[in-house]
This record gives sequence, structure tokens and C-alpha cells, in this order.
Amino acid sequence: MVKWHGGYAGKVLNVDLTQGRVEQEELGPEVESYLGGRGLNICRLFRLLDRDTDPLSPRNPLLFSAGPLAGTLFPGGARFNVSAKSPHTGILGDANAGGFFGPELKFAGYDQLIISGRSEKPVYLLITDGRVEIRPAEHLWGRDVWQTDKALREELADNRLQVACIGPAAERGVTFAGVFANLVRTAARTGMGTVMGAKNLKAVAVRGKGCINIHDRERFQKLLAQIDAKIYKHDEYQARAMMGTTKLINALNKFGCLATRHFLSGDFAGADAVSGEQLAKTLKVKSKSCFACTIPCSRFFRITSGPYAGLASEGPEFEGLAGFSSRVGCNDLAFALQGVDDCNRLGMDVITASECISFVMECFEKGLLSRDEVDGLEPRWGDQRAIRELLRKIAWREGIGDLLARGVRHASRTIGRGTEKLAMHIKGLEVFQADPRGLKGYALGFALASRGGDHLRSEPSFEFSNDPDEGIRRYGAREAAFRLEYRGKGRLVKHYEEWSALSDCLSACKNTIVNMEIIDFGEAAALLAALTGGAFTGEGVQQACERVLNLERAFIVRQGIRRSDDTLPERFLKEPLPGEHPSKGSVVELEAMLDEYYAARGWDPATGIPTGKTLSRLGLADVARQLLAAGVPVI
Amino acid sequence: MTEKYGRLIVDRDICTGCRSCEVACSLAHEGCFWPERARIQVYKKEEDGLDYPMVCLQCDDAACMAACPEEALERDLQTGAVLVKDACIGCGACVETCPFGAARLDEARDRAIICDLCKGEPACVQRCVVHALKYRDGAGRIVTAPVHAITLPQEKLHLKTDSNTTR
Repeated sequence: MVKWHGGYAGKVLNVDLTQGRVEQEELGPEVESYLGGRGLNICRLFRLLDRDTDPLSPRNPLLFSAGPLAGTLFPGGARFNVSAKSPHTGILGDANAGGFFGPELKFAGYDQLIISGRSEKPVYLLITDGRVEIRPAEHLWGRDVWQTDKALREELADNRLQVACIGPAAERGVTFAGVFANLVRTAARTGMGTVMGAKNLKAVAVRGKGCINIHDRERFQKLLAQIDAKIYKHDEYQARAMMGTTKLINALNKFGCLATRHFLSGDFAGADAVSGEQLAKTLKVKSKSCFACTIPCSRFFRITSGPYAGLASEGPEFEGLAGFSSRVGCNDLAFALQGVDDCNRLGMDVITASECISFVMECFEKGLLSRDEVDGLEPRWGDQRAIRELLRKIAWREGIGDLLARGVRHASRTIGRGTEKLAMHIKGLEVFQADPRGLKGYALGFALASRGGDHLRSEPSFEFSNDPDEGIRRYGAREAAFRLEYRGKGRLVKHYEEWSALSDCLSACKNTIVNMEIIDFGEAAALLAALTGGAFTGEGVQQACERVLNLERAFIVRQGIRRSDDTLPERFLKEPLPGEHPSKGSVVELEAMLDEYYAARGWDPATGIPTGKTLSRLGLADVARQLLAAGVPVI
Repeated sequence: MTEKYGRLIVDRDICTGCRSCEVACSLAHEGCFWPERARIQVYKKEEDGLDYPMVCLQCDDAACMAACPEEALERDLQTGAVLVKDACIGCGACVETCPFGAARLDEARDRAIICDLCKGEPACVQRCVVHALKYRDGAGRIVTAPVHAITLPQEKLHLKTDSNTTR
């Protein structure tokens, strides 16, 4: 058994909600091969889950992990990762969030929490130092996210309690309900809150009074000083402190890549009015941060006049802001904040929710949905009342809302009439707020992401660099450095997928590690070695990330995913991006990029299945055998 | 001894609530990441966006020192910080007396926890990039983190007053 000297808390907590039993075990040696966080979750999930398990059944395990950097002084070492089989997509469910919950779990002594079974009645889990209790939560059932957080804090009379909970959407089985910590910090995608709801688990409340050790303090602090210096002199530092991800509204709009009216355009005339700059200038009160972060990229805002006066909250991120402005054709900043707040309180993923609504709007505009079919609403672009009413209907599963509560893949298949082509999802997961036609590397990343249409699995921001020499050096193609080119993007995305996995496994922020390029695999290894006392090398750490990617791929090919599923909505492949801007007329050249990617990964280009050789090289020969036994043609 | 004591200056209005100060404090004093043992702690109310760092203000006329039955609290001659000496028995009199909630008890070690200003180089200040925490030494010099993250546009910053700044 590996003895860790620091970084890891050292224990895994197993909770069986059916039996009402709680057991703890030592953190196992697999952490060397999977690092922690997302990696540790897929490692366990792949083995625990039976392929045919219904995601809403008690047999679907729900895993929470906080990796080795969570709770340390590493800027953005604040995250936790939640995984299960997704009730939204039927494949890998996986999401993470920042705030304060992840570190608290570590201070309470746990790196991972594995929840199985289902409680007969609503319960919440209380984890305090040396004590774990399954407590009744009938009094919390039906309450929204904010009410639940507040009630638990009052009930347990502890200001430092950290709560991860679900809202009414999750209780009612909306398949894209998230897990919410610190009110707005959301592990949002793929319905992890829905899995909690199906287990009758309203919340996990944690209060940890313990410490996280450091193996070699002097070395760790020296490395941290180098990281600090890199962050402080980064040319994006001040813009991130001022606006965080909301700066992307104007930045993407300038390129013609801002999801506008359901991707009918990439150019939003109202962008300025709802931009990060405008938010900072008007409604922002101050910056907010995740645990121990020195890049205060979040914000608190307060609306003091107009129809949404009184609304005050932390947030939003770019995804929510664009989701309830450009994507639904509304140029009212206060309304966009209200739309995000509705989702936060009801407990839903803002990306999927905004796709559901903008999908309905396009269908309505094209006459594919009648007024009667949308419960007498007239959902036209920018109609604030209709948008809020649709959100409410989804959460409570009323009328059209019940149809949308399982996402646009399900809704479009039910409606038919060609609406399937308008449903902006990949593998069942709705795509985010940038138009992939103007971001070819991102487009490839969406098509491949192991949890479905998602940008956070790769975020290949290098394609904005316009540095051809560096493109050749890193990815063997000058084009890799240009967002509208497609050559080199297979290798680019492979690299960024591993880099993103690094940040998810360490439970540290992707903005810091990947987008600002603050640490690479070698630097991460040095940091881990100083922190934990383990013998980490850059090569080994990158290989661990590669292993995570391959095991996730094995997970989804076991669920039936093949190359033909690694695709994009037809609009991005066939309809040239309209408008007068630098991305005008662009479509995604997907197949050529996929070929390059599979070759770089060592996956069978015909099927997209990892080859036996690749799996063996990564120490996953047993996984190859399991896939074969499950009828997956591994060659 | 200097004329005035050094002290931490807290601006609640711009604190981002990140708790870096807590982690840095625990690292400096305990050698590990241990917010529970930090001499500074941030009281948070997320629904209202309130983040209040609670820390010793090194009062000129310190109630904690007067309340201590063991005379275990002593001024550091260099910084003026209130230091907890080995004579402390962990009775909690200082904790009860402090009007700012800045003294805490380490129950495992039966000892009071009070900010010692890190011998004049407070670790917390070094990580407060928005400068919600500053250190003013006995000579009146102001020390801040090595970087300043500007969180609001200039025109808005000018509208802010210092009225809520704890001095």
C-alpha cells in the first residue's frame, strides 16, 4: 500500500443508501495511475458499473472526488468532480465545479465519496470530522437550491459548512439537473443532480477541520512562487480579474463565433449590451473567487432598478450569460442574469436549458411547432416572459416542459418533422455558446468529448495563438495555430484533452492550468512530488491523463459509441456560417480532423475504438479483455 | 519600540472570499494546509456576497490581554502583535472578550490562537491580490501583495469610499 505524505487526504468513503451503511477504506494504489478527481472516478466507475444499468436505478454509483491539489494553496485548487452513468445521455456522466466544497471534503479526510443504492425517503449526508450520518431530508425536499443551502447551514449552525445539493428539477427527474455547491458553483452537465435525486439524496453537507499535509514544504513553496510569478505577469491576468469568462461575449462575437439565435448566426448585434465589459461597468459589485485562488475571476452583482431589481448573486459564467442573451436573441443584461438565476435555483444546467429554449424558438419560427404545442406561448427570439415560463415548465415537467426535460435529442425525436437536424447536441449532450464553425479545434473536441457535446474536455485555445512556428513545433503543422484551419487539429486536440484531464484529475482550475498555460505535465509532476512524496514524472503524469482518456473512451464504446457518433449537428458541417465577420462562410471539415486524431491516439480509424495495443501500452489490457467479452470489436 | 503598533487593515468591500489568507496563515504557522487553525478566518454569507475576514486588529488597549488570567498574552516588541505565550491554559477568556471575534481556541492543544503578524511580514497579506488585506507596520509603511488585481473599472472605483474600511 502506498503511503502518501501529503496532498491526498488518504481515505475513500463508501455510502450505501439502501442499507443505510457507511464504510471507509484507505485510498488505494490506483491513485498513482489515475492521479485523483476525474481520473479516480472513471477508474472506479468503469469497474463498478454494469453496462446495462439504468442510470436512475439504485445500482448506478455516484462518485464525488477531490484531487490532490484541492485544498492546497495552488491557485484554483478548489474543485470537485462528480461522475456516474448519465441519465441524460446514457453514456459517461461527469461534471465538476469549483467553490469550497472540494477542499472541505479533503479537510474532512476524504479524497473520494462513493454513493450507491437508494434511500427510501429523502435524506442528506452529513460528513464532519470522524463522523458520517445519513439524516432525514423530508423537510428539504421540494426546496430550491438556495433555500436548501440556507436551511442546512441554519440547521447545523455552522457558517463554514459546505453544501452540495440539488433543486426541484433534479427531484422531478429533469435529466440535466446539476449538483450545486455555494449556491451557484455547479457540476452542471450530464445530469449528476438527477442521479442524486433518483437516490433520494438531497444534499451532501461537509465540515472538515483537519489538515492536508505537504511532503516537502520548502520545495512546494518554491514551485508555488514560480507559478505565482507566471500568473501575475500573464497578459490576461487583469482582464480575468475584471471579467472572468464573461469577457468571451465580446471576444467571440468579434470573430463571428458567438452562438446567436440558436446558431442561425455567429454575430450578435446586442453583444455589447450583455458583455462582460458592460457587466463589470454596471451591475458588478466586486470580484469573487474560488478557494485559495489568486485570479478572482468570478463576480457578485446586484440589480437595483428595472423589472429584475433586487436580484443579487454570484455569477454568471460566460455559458449562462450567452445562453440567456445571444443564444435566445435577447440583448437585456438584467434578464440574462435572471435566466441564469432561475436555472441556479431550480437546479438545472444553463447550457442544456438554453439549448432547449432556443431549439423551441427556432422550431416555432420555422412552423415546426405550433402555438398549441407550446402550451399557448409564442416563444419568439428575446421573449423574456416565454423564456422564464419555459424554464419553470421544464423544472416542474409541465406540458412542453415535460418534453424538454430530457433534453433536445429526446424532444426532437419525439416531435419529428425534421427537428432532429435542429437539435444541437452531440451524443445527447447539448453544445455550448460558441459556434464551432469558427473554431475548428474546438469543433473536433466537441465531436470527441467523452461526455458528449462539450468544450471543457479539450479547450484547445492554442488555435487562437496565430503562431505558425509554434504550431509546427508542437503539432507538426503551422495550421494548428489558426482557428479556421483544420490541419494539425487532431494532434492539438489530443494534447489539450490530456492537459484538460490533468486539471480535472488534480481538481484545479482549467482556466489556470490550461487556458493560461500555467503548468504543463512536467511542472505538475514536480508539484505533485513535492506535495505527496510520490515519484511522479512528467511522462508518467501525461500517461496517466492519456489513460484516463482511454478508459473513458472504453466506457463509452462499451455503451455503443462508435466513430459515427463522433460527429456534429448538421448545421456546423453543411451550413456556411452567415454574416459579415472573420469567420464568414466557414464549415467544419470534421472527417479529416478525426482521421488525424484517431491516428494520434492509436484508435481504430474505422470504428473509433481504442486498439488492444494502445490499451495494453497504458496498462489497460484487462479493459481490452472486458470490452471483447462485452462484444466490442477491439482489434 | 515603535510609537504605534503594526496592524492588518481589512477592506470588507473588496474581499473576494477566497480564503487564501486562511490557507497561507496555516501554512506559515502549522506547516500544512489547515484553515481551521488559521489566525484569520473569513466569515461568508454567499447569498448577499458578504465576505468578512475576521482577524486580530492589535487593539491599543487590548481587552484580551486584560482578560487573560494567566498573563499569557504579551506584546511583541518589534511589531506590537499580541503573542500567546506558553503560559496559556486554553481557558478561552480572550476568545469571549474579543469584540471582533478574532481570537480562537485550539482545543486539541488547549491554547488560544491569535494573529502574531508573522513577525512583521504577514503571510496572509502576500496572497491577497485584491488588497482587501494590507499590513501597516509600526512606522506607518503599507505592505501589500506583489500584484494588484483590479476588480472594477477605474470610474467605478472612484465612486467607492473608505467608509467601510476597518481601521
